[in-house]
Formats: sequence, structure tokens, C-alpha cells
Amino acid sequence: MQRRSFVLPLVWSLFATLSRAESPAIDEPAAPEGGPLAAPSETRAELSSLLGFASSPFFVPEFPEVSGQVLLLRTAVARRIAPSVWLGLTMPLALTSIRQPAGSYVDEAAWGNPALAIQHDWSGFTEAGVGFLSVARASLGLPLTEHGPRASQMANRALALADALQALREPSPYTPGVASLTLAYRVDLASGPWLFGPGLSVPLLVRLGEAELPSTQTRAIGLRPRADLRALYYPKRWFGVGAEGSLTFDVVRVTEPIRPDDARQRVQPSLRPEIVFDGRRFRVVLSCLVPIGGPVRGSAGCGADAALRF
Amino acid sequence: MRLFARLRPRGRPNPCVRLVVSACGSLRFALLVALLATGCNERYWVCAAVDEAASGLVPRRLSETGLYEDRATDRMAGNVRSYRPQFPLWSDGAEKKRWVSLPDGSHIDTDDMDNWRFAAGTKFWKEFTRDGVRVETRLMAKVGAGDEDWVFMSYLWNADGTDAVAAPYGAIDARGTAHDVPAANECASCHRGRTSRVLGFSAIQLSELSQVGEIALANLSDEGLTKSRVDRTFVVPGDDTERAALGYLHANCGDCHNQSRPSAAGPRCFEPRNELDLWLRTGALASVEDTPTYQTVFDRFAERGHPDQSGIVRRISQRGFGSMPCVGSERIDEEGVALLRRWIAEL
Repeated sequence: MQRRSFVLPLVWSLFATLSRAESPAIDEPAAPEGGPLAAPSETRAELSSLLGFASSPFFVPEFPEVSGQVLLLRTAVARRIAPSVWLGLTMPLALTSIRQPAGSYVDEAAWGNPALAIQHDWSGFTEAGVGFLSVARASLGLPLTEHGPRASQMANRALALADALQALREPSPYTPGVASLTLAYRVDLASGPWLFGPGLSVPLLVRLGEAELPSTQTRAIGLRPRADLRALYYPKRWFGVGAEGSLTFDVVRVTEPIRPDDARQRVQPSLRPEIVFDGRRFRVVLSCLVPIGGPVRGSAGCGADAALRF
Repeated sequence: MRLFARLRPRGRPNPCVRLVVSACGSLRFALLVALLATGCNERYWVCAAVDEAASGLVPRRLSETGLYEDRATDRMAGNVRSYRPQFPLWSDGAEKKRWVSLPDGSHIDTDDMDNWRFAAGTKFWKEFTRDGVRVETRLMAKVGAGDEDWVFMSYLWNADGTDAVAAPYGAIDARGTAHDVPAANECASCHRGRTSRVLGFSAIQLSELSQVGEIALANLSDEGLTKSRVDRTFVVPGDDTERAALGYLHANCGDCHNQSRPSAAGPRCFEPRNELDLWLRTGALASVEDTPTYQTVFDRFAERGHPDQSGIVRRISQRGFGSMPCVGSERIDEEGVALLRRWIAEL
């Protein structure tokens, strides 16, 4: 009975952590032996939102910084193509009000890079009775975002805000002019009412367009890995509270900030407290994402993720 | 917000009251965040997008706008005249120079003394120097016959000071200073608050005696620059403090906070409620009580004798959310604050 109590959170946890990354929405793995998921789903759909203020270093002399209000929306769908393999598509959208130099705002909407992903998962129980779920994923970010004109950099600024609002955790959707390959792995352990585990995501960005930025500011390759550690407590089977801490490290940037002080800051910690409601066919996650210091300090956002599987 | 202010406990707070106040404070913060982030603030702060077509109507370089006869020596063109408003706008301490150029043979239409109209081809320039660095020169160019037919553009000076280049999207911390160059669409936040669009070149602003070579109201008609003769100047009423305070509010606040704002087809960055009217009018200068300022400020936005309890002082004494002016300034005008405090305290 105790085993069954944590299978559902474990299954959904896979979605909760990885759907935020560059992956498409994902579904449960094959049910662990003795698990309650008699009818594994074949398709899932997700809508994620994140709303808040953001500020970020920027790349051109006229705009060494960018700030504003952002609503991030992301839709994702995924389809099971083999017992443990999923294929999916994610489409991000940033709706922003960008602060202009004198202090007023101007609205700008920008599509992020869509991503195609393939995912393999594996789950089971250890001899000690601890449930585990292991997920490996590869996603390909398509370079479809636009920079906007050199003079305004409006789309670029909107995407920089989007990147800042999600604490630089996912560069692929919000970096214009790049194709990306992201490899990610995560393992979650479930014991009693607790669910916890680490994750690692390594996005490799390849710049294809430069938006007329100064050549000294851009590089052909970018690498911004992220490590996560998450813990959730489930007082009820359908209800959990917890938090995820992340550390993002800008190893190589595709575009350097114009200010030297900003360029020197390469580590971005962040914290995401969350409340989770799990059902057999739906999941809702309410969370806030707060960068702790780092280049995008001062940004903060809250949002909801809603997912259906069928 | 006033509701929440009333909920603030006085004396020894009851734990229940503290709980309610705390909850209200959190709720207010949450609502504020939601309102700001969801775009409900559009009424106040959101501009229309920069009009690229309009920006194309003015030259790309300042040296091509007609300001200079010889840019290298800063010699002005022959038809360019300097002027100085008696109540300048606070620009975070930047030093400013202003010039106007009227098309040959044209006249300023002064039939409405509070809303002068200018012929197509009229240009105004304002140069900003911050911390000793010449940062930008702004241009207002009349490109048609209608009141709306003005194009605004900021020109950002290059590092060697040889010329300035159009910056329709502005710049942050330009040329290594703390000066922000506004985007072209942000100019609407102030200039579209008056039918004339021209704010610092008016009957009241030019009524003060000028320096040699500068245009003033007294010599406009003598030089044949007005459509009909203007034989008088307009003196702001009150003692020195009152005059200075009325003028300060007129120049810094009145272009938005006035009850004769023209209608606008689109957003103009800032749309305040118009209970306040801080714009001085030439026909309402008989006494201080005659001015719209005195008639609308007290006692809702300022309490006579109590500057600390006056919202108008509180707003200009801060920066950030809720501060005034809400655009175009990052630095508090300490002299301006002191002036308004003195004015209210002496009433």
C-alpha cells in the first residue's frame, strides 16, 4: 500500500521537472510492478505559464540592460511511440512589456524556439523498497526565433526578459539565432511521503544568426549546463509541497553582455517553491521562481502548469 | 490603497487587526503584481510602438537637421535662435540648451495664447549635457499642418563629438553617463498632453526677460515672428515661493496633469486621471487662487501647512513605483522637493 501511495507523484514528477526544461511534455513510464497505473496514457498535453518581473544584462551599447514584465506561455504535446519512449514538441511564447529608457513600457510578443524531443524512461523499486524513476532525454531546439531590427532589438529584448524570468534555466527556447541540442538526465527517488532527486541538463547552442550584433560580443558555440535538486513532501497522495533548487553555469555564452561586470557573473542560483495537485488524468503545479543573486537578480515570477494525459 | 491605509492600526495593535492588516498587505501586493504583470497598467505607462515611418521623415544625422551652419565649430545656422524657458523641466541635473527655427516668412499663431500653433517646417532642438558629457540632442520637427504633425527624435552624440545619430529607440546610460535617452514614442508622454505639443516655448515660459540673443515674448512680435502682435507679458502671481512653485508644477507636471488634454487615438505612455490641473493659463493669473493649481491641488493632493501629509510632495520625493514624474527621471530633484515643501508649509 505504501508503495502505491507514491507511484502517482513519482509518475507526475517526471512531467513536472522535465517539461519545464527543453523537453516536450512527457508522460508516465511503464508502471512499476505492482503500481496503480493500470492504463498508461498514450498522449499528453500541457500548458505552462509564468508571470512576473524580469531584468537582465543585454548585449548592445544602447541597451546594456533590459527590464520589464513578462508572461511566459508554453504549450507542449507528447506521444508515446514505444513502451518507454516518448516523442514531443514544445512551443514557447513570451508576451512582454519592455521598459523603455525614459521609464514607459512598450509591448512586444516573441515566439521562442520550438523544440523536438525524444525521451526514454525507466522506473522500478530498489530492494529496499524505494521507488525510482530515471529519465534520459535529448531535445533539438529549432532556430526559428527572430532578433528584430538592429536598432530596436525588440524581439531580442523580449527573449532576454523571458530567459531572465525563468532564471536562465533554459537557454534554448529564448536565445535567438541558435540551434540547440540538449541532453538531460534526472532520477527521482520516492520513499514514503517524500520524493526527491537530482537532475542535470546540458544545452549546447550553435549560433546561426547574429542580428548585426558586434562581432566581439558573439560566439559560435554556447554552453549553459544546469544542475537541479528537488524535494517534495506529499502529506496526501494527491497533494504535495516542496522546492527545487537549481544552479546554472554560463560556461560559454553565445552573446556576451556589454557591461564587463555583467560578463563576469556566470553562476545563477535559483529556487522554485511549488505546490502540486496530482490526479490520475491531470496535474496542476503552482510555483514561484526566484533567482538568488546572479545576473538576473531582481527578477521573480509565479505561475501554473496544467497537464492532461489521455 | 486608502482603504488599506485606514486599516493600519494605531496605538497598541490588536493581534486580530494585525493579522487582517498583514493579509490585506499581502493581498494588495499580490494584486499589484498581477495588475502590473498582466498589462492592466496600460492605461498609465504603455506607449504605442515606435513609428518607423515617422522616424524616416527626419534626417539620420543631427548635422543634417539644419541646426548647424558648421558642425565642426558648433556655429548655428542663421535662422536658428536660442531661447530659455523661465521654468525649466527637471532632467536629472542635465544642463540644457534650446533652439528654435521657424520657416522663412512663417509666423507663430498666437490666437490661442495657451496653445501656440506653428507652421510646417518649424523645428525645436534641445541639447543635453550630463556630467560634462554632451549626450544627446532632441529634435521636434513640424512636418505638416495639423496639430498632430510633429515628429520627435533623439540624436545620440558619438564618442568623438563630431556628430549625433538618430536613436529612435533611445539608449540607457548613454555615453557612460547615467543619462537615459528616450525612445521617440516616449516623447508623446509629455508633448501630446497639450494641443500645441510645444511645452517650453510658450507665452508664460517666455515672459521672463531673456539673455542677449535669446528669444523672449517681448521681442517675438518686434521681430515679426507672431501672427498678431503680442504687447504684454504674463506674470505668474504670488510671492517668490508661490511663483516658483506654480512654475515648477507647470513645467514638470502640467503637461500631463491638466484638464484640457487633447484626445488621443492611441496610447501616449501616460494617461493620468485629470482631477489635478497644474497647467498655468494666461487667462487665469489674476491671483494664486485663480490658478487651476490652487483650485485642484488643495486639499486632496496637498494639505496647506503640512508638506509631510501632502501626496504631491510624497510622489516627487521618491523614485520607483508611484513616483512622479513617472517617466524621464531617475534622480530626485532635491531643490524642487524643498521648494514644494516650503510652499505648502507657508500656506
